[in-house]
Amino acid sequence: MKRLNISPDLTVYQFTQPVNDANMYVILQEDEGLIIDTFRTEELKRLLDENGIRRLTILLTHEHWDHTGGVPWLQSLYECSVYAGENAAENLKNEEQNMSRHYRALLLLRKGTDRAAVDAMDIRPVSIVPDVLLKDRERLVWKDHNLTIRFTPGHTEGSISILADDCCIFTGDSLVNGHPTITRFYSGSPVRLEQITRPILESFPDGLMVCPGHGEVDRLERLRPFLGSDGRLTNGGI
Amino acid sequence: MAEAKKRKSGRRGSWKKEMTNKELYVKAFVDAFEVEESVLPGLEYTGIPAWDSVGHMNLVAMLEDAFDIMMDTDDIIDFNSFEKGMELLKDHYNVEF
Repeated sequence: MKRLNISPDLTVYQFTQPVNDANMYVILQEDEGLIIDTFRTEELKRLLDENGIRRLTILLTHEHWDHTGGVPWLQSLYECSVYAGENAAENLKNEEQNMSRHYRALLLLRKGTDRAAVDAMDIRPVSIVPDVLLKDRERLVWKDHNLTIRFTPGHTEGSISILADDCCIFTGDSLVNGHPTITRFYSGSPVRLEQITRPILESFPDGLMVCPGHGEVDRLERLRPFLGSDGRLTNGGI
Repeated sequence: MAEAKKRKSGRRGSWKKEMTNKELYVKAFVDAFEVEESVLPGLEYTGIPAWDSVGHMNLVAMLEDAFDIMMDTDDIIDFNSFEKGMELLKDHYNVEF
């Protein structure tokens, strides 16, 4: 776990999942927590319990298991409200389209994957029904923080990014640190990424902190090389 | 022969009924990897850029849909060539070619 002081008023805890390096971000205030994407880890439970957290607001950037697999576990432990983009609702429910049914296979297929580490992960099929479906440009207030939702399709059609206090943006897999966006999964589209998501993310100023779905947190100017698709523009279509 | 693993509520679309199992199998590869049918014999996992782990999962999803099956994790991992896939589907899911 890393503690990131994004601004004097915004501290973010970053958790990174073993094997697939998916990120989960946590903001705490009083007895509540805001979690952006989630996976199961006892380290998170310790942080929440040590801070007396009772209620969680969980924002999901998209449907894939590595970003959503911790939802049922957290719901079993805390009072939770789950938010997601309205275009992700169907895929979140579907264990094939959210990839939870085959995520173990996906990891094991990758060269050099530590099988024991994969076996230690709590990978099981999940079906998630959000409590609240978000619209593009919707604004939320959570405690002292202002959040703006932007639909950023391409990795999946239901992907969203979340701008927090105009000083950082949680991009999920719409922008990751280290490689271009994967657009070949179900409902992914390089055309949607280029035509909709790239202009949105490019419009933000240098200096904005990007909290990506995978890879290290960094300033936008250092992630600009990874804006774009790893796929062909003819694959997926609009 | 292992017992077939069928979806609980899978249904084949009418277009599928007009194709043989071999044609459905080939179509899944062609659609998943955007390749010509001629490259498929002898093709192996990672033999072309499109058949990486992501492409493999797309292929599996298409085959599951085409044959109304649910593939096991071990079979997905063992599925390392065009020919091996047919063997797995035949032996573990009762798909005849």
